[in-house]
Amino acid sequence: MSWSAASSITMQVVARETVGMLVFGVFGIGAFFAARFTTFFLLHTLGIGMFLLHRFIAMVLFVLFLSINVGNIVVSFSTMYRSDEVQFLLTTPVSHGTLFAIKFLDNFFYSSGTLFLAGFSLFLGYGEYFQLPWHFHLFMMLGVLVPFMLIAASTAVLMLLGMMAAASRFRFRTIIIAVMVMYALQLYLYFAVTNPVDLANEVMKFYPNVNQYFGYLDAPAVRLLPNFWVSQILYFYTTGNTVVVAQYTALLIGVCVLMCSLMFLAGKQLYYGTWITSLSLKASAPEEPKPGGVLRLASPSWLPSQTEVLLKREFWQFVRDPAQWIHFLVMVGLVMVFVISIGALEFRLSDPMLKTTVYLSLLAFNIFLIASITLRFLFPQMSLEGKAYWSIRSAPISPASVYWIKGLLPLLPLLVIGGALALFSSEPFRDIPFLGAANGVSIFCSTVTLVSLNLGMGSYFANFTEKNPIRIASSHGATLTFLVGVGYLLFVGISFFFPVYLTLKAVSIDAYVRPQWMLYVFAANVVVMILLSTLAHVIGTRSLQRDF
Amino acid sequence: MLILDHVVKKFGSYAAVDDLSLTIPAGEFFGFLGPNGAGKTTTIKMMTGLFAPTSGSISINGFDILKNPIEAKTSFGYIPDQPFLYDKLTGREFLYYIGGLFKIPKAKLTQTIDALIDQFEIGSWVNKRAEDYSQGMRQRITIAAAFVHEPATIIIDEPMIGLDPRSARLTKDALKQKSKDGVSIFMSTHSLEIVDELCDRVGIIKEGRLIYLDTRDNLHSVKAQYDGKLESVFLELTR
Repeated sequence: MSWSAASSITMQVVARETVGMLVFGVFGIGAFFAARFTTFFLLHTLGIGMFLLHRFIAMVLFVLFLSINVGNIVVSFSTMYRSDEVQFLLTTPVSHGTLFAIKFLDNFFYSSGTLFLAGFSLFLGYGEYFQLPWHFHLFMMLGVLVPFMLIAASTAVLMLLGMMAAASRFRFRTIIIAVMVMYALQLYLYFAVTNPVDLANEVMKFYPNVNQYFGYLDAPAVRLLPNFWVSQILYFYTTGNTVVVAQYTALLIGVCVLMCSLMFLAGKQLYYGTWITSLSLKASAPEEPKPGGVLRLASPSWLPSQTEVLLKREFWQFVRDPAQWIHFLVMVGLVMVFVISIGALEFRLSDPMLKTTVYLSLLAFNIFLIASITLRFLFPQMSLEGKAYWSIRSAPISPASVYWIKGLLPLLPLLVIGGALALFSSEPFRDIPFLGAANGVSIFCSTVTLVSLNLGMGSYFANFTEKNPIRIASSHGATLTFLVGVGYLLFVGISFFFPVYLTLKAVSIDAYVRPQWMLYVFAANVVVMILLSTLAHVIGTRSLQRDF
Repeated sequence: MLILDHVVKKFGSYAAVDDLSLTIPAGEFFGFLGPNGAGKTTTIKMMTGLFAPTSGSISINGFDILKNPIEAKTSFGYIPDQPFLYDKLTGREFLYYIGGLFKIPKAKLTQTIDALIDQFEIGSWVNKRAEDYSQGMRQRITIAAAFVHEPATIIIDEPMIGLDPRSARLTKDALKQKSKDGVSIFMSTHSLEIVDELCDRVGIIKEGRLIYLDTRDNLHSVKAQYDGKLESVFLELTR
């Protein structure tokens, strides 16, 4: 057999990997320039000062920490307690502690690839603005980012072990609800205590002397958080205070070592016992609903039979999988917290450029939320057919019909979520003409595009052997798709920049606001939506014809 | 009726199925034998639409599987070698799901499903989720799912894997009855006893090529030339 046959390298694989590397490369370069530009814009153009910049970084890091934390709880539940591989490995002479450690590290590195790339590029851009030496980047990656992420991941797994241990005494659903409420409360309290608008207003009172250290404005509780330590490391590194940098780094690494040690110890003691508990949770799972429910597969329906059974199957597969509905509720909860907070904000800003920045930041965050939700729930759709996909491929139904049902079903709730985001984030700008419409159009186009992108690429990169939806959403193909989505987000942001700025500037000087500014960009966004969506669907539906 | 006409399936330069031609008339019970890796499952996957042939054509009850896939798939039931189900659906829900894909009216489907549950002695397991099933129970549900729309043809890949003796007996009886009712059955198996008991005609495939094709009765006369064992015939032919 020739080398090329043995290595199974085909032109298709080479092309796919090359495109993948290009996308990663473009993303990395984009993240670099975005970090550099954002730092320059905030410090030089808006003049917010070093302290405020680093406090904003701390807020972003808090959200990141929480995301890694919650994500690790959900993915670890699947890989540590629902995995067939674990069942097999428990019959081999591998100690429970070793198995636990392997599973933790597998999860951590599997889901951290994009974050490492993003982190490296962002620190590179940040460091380049401040002309920091090469060892800064190495130090940030190995000495700061890795411990930060490990703290988030290890606290998540400790939380999970605690939940599973409690599940032997209490109802699991009650435990989950309690944990979700706790996380929602954490998020709310953090932003209640570190209100970014109040903080900005306090610091800007000293304008133009905003480069002082306003440490007295930091709430005491916030100083105990790892995201705060990272922002302090960055602040004092750029101001040349190596002693304080060393102190916070030692604290970060020390806490990381402590948390990881606690986690591995707890895992050694509790993992097997909690795994047994998880079996009894599975065995006590409720059966199908009582007679009379319209969602039962046995119940009659006015829908065509194939559509009916596919919709009902999708519904039951979703609601009966805790990894799906818990994560969905968490993400919807985060969205609700965001919309409630934003709707109540009053931006007492007069500068049109600052207002434009705020508007576009909110828009970008909204689209990022939609991108995250679509990546998590749309991308794995075809993969979640699993090996039972034979039942569709051998049935008298075109795979494309299944594809469209899988896309249309989540599209409606996503449009509702997008609508809520558009409505509430338009509140601070309710007196400005066209900005509400701009929000609505951009989020509608983004939702349709991102749903199409994730469904299409999810079909192209379908992995029918992976059962864990979070691992599917963390795969190489998912990362590529997410990066393309980020590129699309940038396009939307850039396309709206000038129309929004011109509108806000016109309002600030009581000038006429031209509707053409917005209409052209609306049209451009609709065209891009149609083009990208069509491309994604063509790729997705064609990929369904591959050998299964 | 099943017609495979010069079917080839290549994976890269490797021919898993090499110029296979077969005609299975209506009502025939055809046994498809071969050593591991001979191309049995690949052939079946091409017949059921899971793989596309590299060349050649496959026609099921008058419909080409590639050109008229919907019509072709309406007329057969498929039992795969590995009975993967949707973990979060119960056995009953899976049967309703399959029935819905084949557009069986709900009232008729309920009757059929109840009858199949009795026939395969699935019992209360039918209301538990597939993730709690043993291999044998999954196999029973998969077999029942293939019968739910009363197809004219049944295509089976290794039906007896994971079945206990009682389940195997129930399956054999069900297949025998279907054959008597005029249903064409194409079955790949490793079990020579099953072939001996059930099949009208036997084909043996080796390295993608059909090396033997004859009736079961003629196979018995060949068997007599060896030590009277079908196993010896098989081993000699596939040597």
